[in-house]
Amino acid sequence: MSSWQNGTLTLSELCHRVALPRTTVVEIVEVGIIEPVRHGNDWHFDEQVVLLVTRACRLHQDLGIDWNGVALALELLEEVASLRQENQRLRQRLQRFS
Amino acid sequence: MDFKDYYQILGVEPNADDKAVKAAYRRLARKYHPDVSKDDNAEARFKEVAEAYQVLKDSAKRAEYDQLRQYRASGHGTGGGFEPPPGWRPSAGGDAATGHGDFSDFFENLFGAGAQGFSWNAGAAGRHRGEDLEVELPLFLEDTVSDTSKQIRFALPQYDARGRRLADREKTLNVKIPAGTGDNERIRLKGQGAPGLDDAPAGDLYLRVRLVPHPLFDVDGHDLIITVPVAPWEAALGAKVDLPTLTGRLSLTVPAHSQSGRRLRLKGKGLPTKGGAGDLYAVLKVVMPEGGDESADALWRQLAEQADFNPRADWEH
Repeated sequence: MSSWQNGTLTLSELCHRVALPRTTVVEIVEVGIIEPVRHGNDWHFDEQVVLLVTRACRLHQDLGIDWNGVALALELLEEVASLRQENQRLRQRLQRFS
Repeated sequence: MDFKDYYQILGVEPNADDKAVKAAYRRLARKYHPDVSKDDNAEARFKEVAEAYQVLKDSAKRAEYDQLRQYRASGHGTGGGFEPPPGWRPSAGGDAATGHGDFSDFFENLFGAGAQGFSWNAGAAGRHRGEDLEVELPLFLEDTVSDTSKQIRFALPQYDARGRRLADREKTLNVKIPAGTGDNERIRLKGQGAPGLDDAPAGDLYLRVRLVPHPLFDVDGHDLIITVPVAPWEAALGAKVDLPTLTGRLSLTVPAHSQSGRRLRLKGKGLPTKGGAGDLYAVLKVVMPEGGDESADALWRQLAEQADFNPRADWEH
């Protein structure tokens, strides 16, 4: 049986995990794709951001969009997903009333 | 192997210039990118499009491909499978280009496996930790009430010693889901993602929880909504209704003179959370009996004659 674990990564650990140079990760933070949990002067990240950074990289590379565009795309995709879900739920509720 | 018409895949003419090829690729990539599209075939389509672009964007590879295409057009391999001309040796391969790793046999045979990088995660030198994976975990509302164990099945990527992607392997895991797990929550299973290369650690597996639609309950955040059908006289006179909840039945008091659509709150009977629970809303729905009962109609008629009620009073000015 597998268990739950959650950890944090330092900036260098994150760079290593996602195979990106420090400047790129800083840029990804600056456009707001991921947010560090600050620890004094050092940045720390929730390990879950790895998945988000990987996804951001795929969009950056495959679709040829800059990091600002990636940030916008991710935000809009998230919004579309939640609107779709809400729409589906409202439809279901509406159906129960007809 | 099957011949791939890369021009057709990108929807461009064989004489299309680099700009047109790039524009076609970008358009299709946006449409079928697995991170963007919810389409079931999106990933397969995207791989095809990426493979086509990998060849057509590179003038040397494109020239070689055009040669093969000519060779095929002159009658070779149009019937069954396609075989390159005898003595064919790719020359344009080898430039560890970016790709998603599992290109077709056609591509590998013509341009060599070395022509493709094998995955984003392992693209950079000196890093061979396995990729993190994300899998959707459908969960019944009832599963969130107490700790449950779920069996999940997912496709685990496999790589050979040189880091080339092989066919996925199906993997089964038993996972403990704690009570109060919510919609869209991520559960991380350390080391259960794609295997690492050269004894490097495996990636992690993330389960993204998706609550499955329930036949009775609708979800609104941590709250649940149940539609309660009531007879017109129950709405008028009040009633006690035996109400199903996620954890068992309880008695709901319908107050007299309730309108259809009235929401009655049952505190703490909604979805469990890590710290407590949401509420359950019982929404009344007045339901008319089927017609055809003459004595019932007589009673309605009596009510109609005596009641001083205009439901459309708002329309009168």
